[in-house]
Amino acid sequence: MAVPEISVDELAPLLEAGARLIDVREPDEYAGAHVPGAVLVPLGTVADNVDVFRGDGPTYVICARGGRSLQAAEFVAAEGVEAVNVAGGTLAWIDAGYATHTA
Amino acid sequence: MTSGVTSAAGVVLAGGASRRMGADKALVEVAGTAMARRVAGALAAAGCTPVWCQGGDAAALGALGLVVRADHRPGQGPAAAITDVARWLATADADAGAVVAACDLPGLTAAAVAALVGRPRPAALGVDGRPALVVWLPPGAVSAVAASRATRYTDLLAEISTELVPIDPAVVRNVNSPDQL
Repeated sequence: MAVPEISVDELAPLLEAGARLIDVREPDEYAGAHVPGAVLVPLGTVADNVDVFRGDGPTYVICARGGRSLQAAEFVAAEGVEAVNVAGGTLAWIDAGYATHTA
Repeated sequence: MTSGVTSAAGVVLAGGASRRMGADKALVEVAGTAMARRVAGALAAAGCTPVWCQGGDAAALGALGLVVRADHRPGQGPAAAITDVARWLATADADAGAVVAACDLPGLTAAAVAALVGRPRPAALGVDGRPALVVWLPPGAVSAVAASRATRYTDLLAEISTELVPIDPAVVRNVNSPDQL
C-alpha cells in the first residue's frame, strides 16, 4: 500500500490544471498560509471524510512537511482512493517561492 | 502487495475510558511522547500501513499527527473495537491483515510487533500464558473476526484459535494510573 509522492514543483502545474489538493493540517495552520485551492480536512477528521478525497484522478495530500499527509494518504489509499503525498509539504511550497492564501 | 509479503494495517485502540488515569490515557505522555503516539510509532516502524487510532479524541489525536476512526460502539471494550477494525478491513482491503494494540503500552517495540506480522494464524503477545492487548489478525482471519459476537477480548482470541507469542513483560507493561508512570 505504498503511496507515491510528488514534489511541490511537480504539484504546481497540476493544480493549475485543476488537480484536487487536501490539506490535513490543523485549522489554525491552514488559516496562517495554505496552497491556493487546498481543501482543509484536519488529520483527526480524515477517516470520517474519505469521500472528500474521492473523485476522478489522483488526490494530492499536503500538510506542513509531509509526515501527517503521508498518514492520511496511506489511510485513504486503503479505502481505494488514488492518493499522492506532497513531499516537503506547505513549507516546501513556501520555500520554493510559490504564492499562498491565508484564512 | 508484493508476493510473499503480507500487508498489515496498524491500529491503536484509543477509545478506552481511562477511569483510573483521571485523564485521557491515549494522550498521557511518557518520556515526552503521548502514549498513543508511541504505540503508533512502534506499529509504523514495524512496517504497518496505514496506521490509525480506533476511537479516542479525534481533535487531540489528529493534532498529534494521528488518523482517527470513530468507534462505532464506544465503551464496549477491546473485543468490540477489534471486531469493528476487522469489518473495516473486510470492506477496504481484502489482502490486508492488521496488528491491533492498546494505547496504554508505552514500552511496545517495533521488534515485538514485527514478531507477529505475517504469521499465518492469529497471534497475540503474551506473558506467562496471558495475552497482552497486542494481536495480529492475518488476512485469513479477518472475516471470522468481523462476524464475531465475542464481548471479551480473551473470548475473541479463543474463538479464532490465537497463538500466544512470549514477550518480555516490560514491552507490554500497561499503564492504568499515574503512579505506574
